[in-house]
Amino acid sequence: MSSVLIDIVTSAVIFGVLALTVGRVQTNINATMYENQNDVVTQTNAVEFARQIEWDFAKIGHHESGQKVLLADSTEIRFRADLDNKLVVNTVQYIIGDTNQCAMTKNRDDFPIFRTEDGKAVKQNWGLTYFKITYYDNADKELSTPITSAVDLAKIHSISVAFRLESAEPVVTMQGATWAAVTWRKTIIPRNLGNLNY
Amino acid sequence: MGRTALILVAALGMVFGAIGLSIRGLTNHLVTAQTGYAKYSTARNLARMAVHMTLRAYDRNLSPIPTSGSLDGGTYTVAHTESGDTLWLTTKGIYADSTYTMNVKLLRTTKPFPGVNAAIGLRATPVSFSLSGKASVDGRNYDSTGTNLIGSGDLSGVATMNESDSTAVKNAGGTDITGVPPVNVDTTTIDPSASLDEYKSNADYSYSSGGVYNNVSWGSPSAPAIVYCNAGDDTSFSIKFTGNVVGYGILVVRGNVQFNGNFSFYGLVVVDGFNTTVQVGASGTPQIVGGVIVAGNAGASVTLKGTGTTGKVKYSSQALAKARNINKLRYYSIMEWYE
Repeated sequence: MSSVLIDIVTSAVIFGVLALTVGRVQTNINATMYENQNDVVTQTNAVEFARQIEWDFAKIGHHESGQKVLLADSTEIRFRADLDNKLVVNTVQYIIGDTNQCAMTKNRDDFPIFRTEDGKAVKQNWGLTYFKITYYDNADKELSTPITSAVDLAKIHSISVAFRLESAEPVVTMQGATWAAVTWRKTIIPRNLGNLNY
Repeated sequence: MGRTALILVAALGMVFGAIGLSIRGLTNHLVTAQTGYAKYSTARNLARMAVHMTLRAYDRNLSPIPTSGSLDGGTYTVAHTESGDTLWLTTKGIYADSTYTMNVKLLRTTKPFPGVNAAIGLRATPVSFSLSGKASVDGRNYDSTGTNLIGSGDLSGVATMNESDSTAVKNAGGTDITGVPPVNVDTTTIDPSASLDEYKSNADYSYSSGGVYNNVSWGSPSAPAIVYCNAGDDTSFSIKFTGNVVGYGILVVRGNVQFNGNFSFYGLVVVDGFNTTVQVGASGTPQIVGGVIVAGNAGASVTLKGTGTTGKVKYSSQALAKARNINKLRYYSIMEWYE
C-alpha cells in the first residue's frame, strides 16, 4: 500500500515538473512564434513595398513628352508615366498620411501612404514609420524640397527613397517589448528623365 | 499508469511537432520573401547587363550580335532591331523562377568630332610645315575611295590659323597644293587635342614602340577602326610601316612615322604636333583620303614627304563621315526605357 502511495506521489511530482516545463517551453515558443510572425509580416511588407516603389519610379517619364515630374517633396511625389507601356500616360502620386490615419494599430508611429493613379487613391498600411524622398540633379547634388517649378523639376536626375517599416503589434522578447522593423533605401535613376545617354 | 504516460508523451510529441511545423512554415515564408526579392533583383541586373553587353557588341562591330548568354548563374536573351540610328532592344533576364524584361529605344549619336575644313587643317601656330618630294594636297571633295570628285563641297588644300602661317605653307607647297583656295586662313579649325586621349584609350591598333611593321590592315570601309602610332618625341625613334598598308577610320600619329609602301588611309589623320614627320613612301600610290589635322601644340613641326610621284592628301567628306561614325566613339541617347 505504501509502495503504491509512493508511486502515486512520485508520478504526481514528475507530472507537475513536466507540466511546468512544458508550460514554460510553450510560453517561449509562443513568444518566438509571435516574434517570427511579426518579422515575417514586416519583412514581407518591406519587400512588397520596395518592389512597388521600384516598379513605379523606374517608369517615371515613360512616353511623357511634356513635364514628367509634376511635384517633388520629401514626403510626396507626383509624376507622369505610361505604367503599362500601352501609350496611355498615367498620373501617379505618392503622399504619406499621418499617424491618426493608422489608429487601429498599437504602433503609435506608423502612418499610411496613399498611392493615387489617375485620381484613384489607395490607402496602404505597410507599417511605415519613416518615409523620405530625396532628389538629386545630374551632378548628384541634392535638390532642396519642395520642388515646384517646372524648370527645377526638370533638373531631377535621380531619386532616393528611404523608408522604415515597423510591425503593427509590439514584439515581446526576453529583453522586453519592441517592434519588428525593416529599413530600406535605394537611389533610382529613372531612365526616361533628363535625356540620359548610355 | 504506464498507458497514461504513453498517451501523455505521445500528446506532447504531437504538440511539439505541430509547433515545429508552424515555426518551419514561418521561416520558409520569410526565406521565400527574401530570396524572391533577391531573385527579382538578379533577374533585373541580368536584363540590364544584357543591354550593356549588346551595346558593347555594337561598338565592337560584332556580327551577328549575340542574342543570348549566361551570367551569374542566370541567363539573358536579347531581341534587337534597328532603323537608321534608332535601336530597339528587348532584353529579358532570367534567374531561377524570376524573369525581368526591359524594352529600350535608343538613338545612336555621334560624339563631337575634330572636323577639318580643308585637306590639311593646321591648328598649331606657329607651325613648321614642310611639303617635300612629290607629295600633293588636294582640297577638292572626293568620294570615300578618293577616286572620283563629288563636284561640290570643295575646300582649301591647307587651312592655317593666321596669315603668316598661310604664307609659309604657300611657300612650302607651291603648286602642289590645290583647293578652293589652295591655302586659306581658318581659325575655326577645332583643336583635336581634347579627343586624343579617347582615341588612344579606344585604339583598335596601337603602336608605341619603334620598329618596322610589314603589310598591315586597319579596319574596313564598313567597320572603320582607330589606330594610334606613338613614336615618341625623339625624332630618331621611328615607326615604319612597309608593304601594303591600308586603313579606315582615325589614325593618330605622334613623332616620326613613316609609311614606306603602298599606303592608303581613308578617314581622319590626326597629327599630334611635336616634331612629327609623316612620310609617305616612294612606290605605289600612297594617299590619305579624308583629311589631316594637326593638333594645336605650340611649335608643332610637321613634315609631309612624298618621295614617289603620286603621294596625295585628298579631302573627302564621305571618308570623314565614316570615320566620325566609328561605333565605339558613338554613344546612345535614351528615347524610351520601360522596365
